[in-house]
Amino acid sequence: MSAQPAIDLVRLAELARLSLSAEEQAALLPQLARILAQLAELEAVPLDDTPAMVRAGASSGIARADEPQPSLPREALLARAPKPEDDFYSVPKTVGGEG
Amino acid sequence: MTLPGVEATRARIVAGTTSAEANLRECLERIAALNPKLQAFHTVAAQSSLARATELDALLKSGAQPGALHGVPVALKSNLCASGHETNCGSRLLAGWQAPYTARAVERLLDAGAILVGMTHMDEFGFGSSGENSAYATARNPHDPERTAGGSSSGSAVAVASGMVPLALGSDTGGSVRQPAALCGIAGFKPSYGRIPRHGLVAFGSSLDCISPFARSVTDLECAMEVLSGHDALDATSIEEPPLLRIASEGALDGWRIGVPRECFDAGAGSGLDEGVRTALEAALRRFEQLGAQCVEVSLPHLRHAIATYYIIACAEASSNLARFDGVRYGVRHTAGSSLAAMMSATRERGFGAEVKRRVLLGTFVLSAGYHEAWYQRAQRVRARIAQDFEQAFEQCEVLVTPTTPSTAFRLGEKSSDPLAMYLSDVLTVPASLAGIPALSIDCGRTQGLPVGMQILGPARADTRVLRAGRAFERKNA
Repeated sequence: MSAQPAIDLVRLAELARLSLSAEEQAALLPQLARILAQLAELEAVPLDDTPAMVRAGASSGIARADEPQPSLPREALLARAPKPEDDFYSVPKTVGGEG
Repeated sequence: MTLPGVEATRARIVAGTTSAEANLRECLERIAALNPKLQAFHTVAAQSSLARATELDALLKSGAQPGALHGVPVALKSNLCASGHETNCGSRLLAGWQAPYTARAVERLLDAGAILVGMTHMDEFGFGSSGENSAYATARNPHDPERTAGGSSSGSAVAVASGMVPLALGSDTGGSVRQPAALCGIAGFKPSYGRIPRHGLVAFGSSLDCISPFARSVTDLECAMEVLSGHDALDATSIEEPPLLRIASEGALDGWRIGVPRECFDAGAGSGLDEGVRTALEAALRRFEQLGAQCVEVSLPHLRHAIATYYIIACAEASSNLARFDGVRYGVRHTAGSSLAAMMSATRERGFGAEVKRRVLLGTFVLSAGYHEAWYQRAQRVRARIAQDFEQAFEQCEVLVTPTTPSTAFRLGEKSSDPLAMYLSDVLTVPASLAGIPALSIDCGRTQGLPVGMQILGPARADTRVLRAGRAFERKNA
């Protein structure tokens, strides 16, 4: 954690699956730097051996019984997808060439 | 004139003073008159709601037992699923997307006799504190349409505050129900984390999200909580307790200790409290004393770290939850080049607004290799400290009272170009979200003609206690 972390915006955008325009990159970089500089104040908080709190204490986190239940109809879900094809979600080719 | 609240609406219909249909027509007329200016609803389901009202009137006539919300018109934030209604989350990416099933909380409302009137505007995916981050329209404050209604559940708050409906659902991740409730002068309740099941709520920050109701009184919120709360096996974070039941009480708070966290009233500690808000809160504390309670000063020393902690955790969780919106299974797809990655990137680039991109990038940063431990895990450890502060404070008092927001409703456009200034609006609401404790916002007065919201917080699972304190205050204030 550093008040001025190095931000590789091109790499971040790739990880986040965002194709940012040059204009957006120019606007975002100083904004992200300013926000992260503010968030970096946590570095100075003394924590000793405090464990991480991964969720609010009141939650049960208990899974339901492992019993088969009816699911939503396949056609209802496919009808809401941008490009269904027969019984499948279709996507651009993922094998061979650029992926 | 505003329409009657939840209890009064049901009572009038059940007594035969009016019918569900006649009452609904009044609501629809009010929506038609006010919505063009206030922009609370993006879709109004006039036809299906009228059909439902007719059905409810016939049921009552046949001698069937009316439900707890018989005939009560409700509005939903657009991140809740209701079969056949548009759940667009305020995003272009989900334009026109109709839910294939109904959220558990919504199902409970409908089973109790409520009528779904429509879906409301919101900040895109819940990212915002002013309603201005909607891809469709910015809901406007009924007290001054040039000012924000708060966010992100802005449309639902406006629908209730302007009398379009007596009850609405929003979701509160870091204050998205309490803030608009405060700025619009109504009541909003973020229950304990896990109190209302989230099956059918589009996720933003999974360790923080709470479905939360708006109404014009605490009594009406209690009616709604009786129906909405209770365990649900489809939500693994749902509290394994039966629904909350209202406890009849005289309204006095004899022997109660009201904790007043000094950090929330000290401008130097980062809350940036407006003088008018402080004056209204001080008057509210005196009213608690008139009810028999004693005010005690307490300290929440880690409160000043809550904004940083919240934004690291919430953005991390959001970047993970929003990964599913990639042009494959939901909504709109944009193509670019011939690869899968290019299609996903183009879809998200054109589908998401500026604030969503900012938060997804921030979340990706704090979760990325080399930064995860120093940023995300550290924030989770500070979160534990904030929760411990609350536990210690509740050893000295029954409930805590703070302002809900540092200022009253600000002008639209005032903070929209400065994301950090907007994030600071959340300074008083994110601590309860991080700790998972119940928090109620109610109207406690006016400054310069605008509503001031007061927040009442209780220990985890002490939802009933918080509502009882709010109801006592409301009666004293009436």
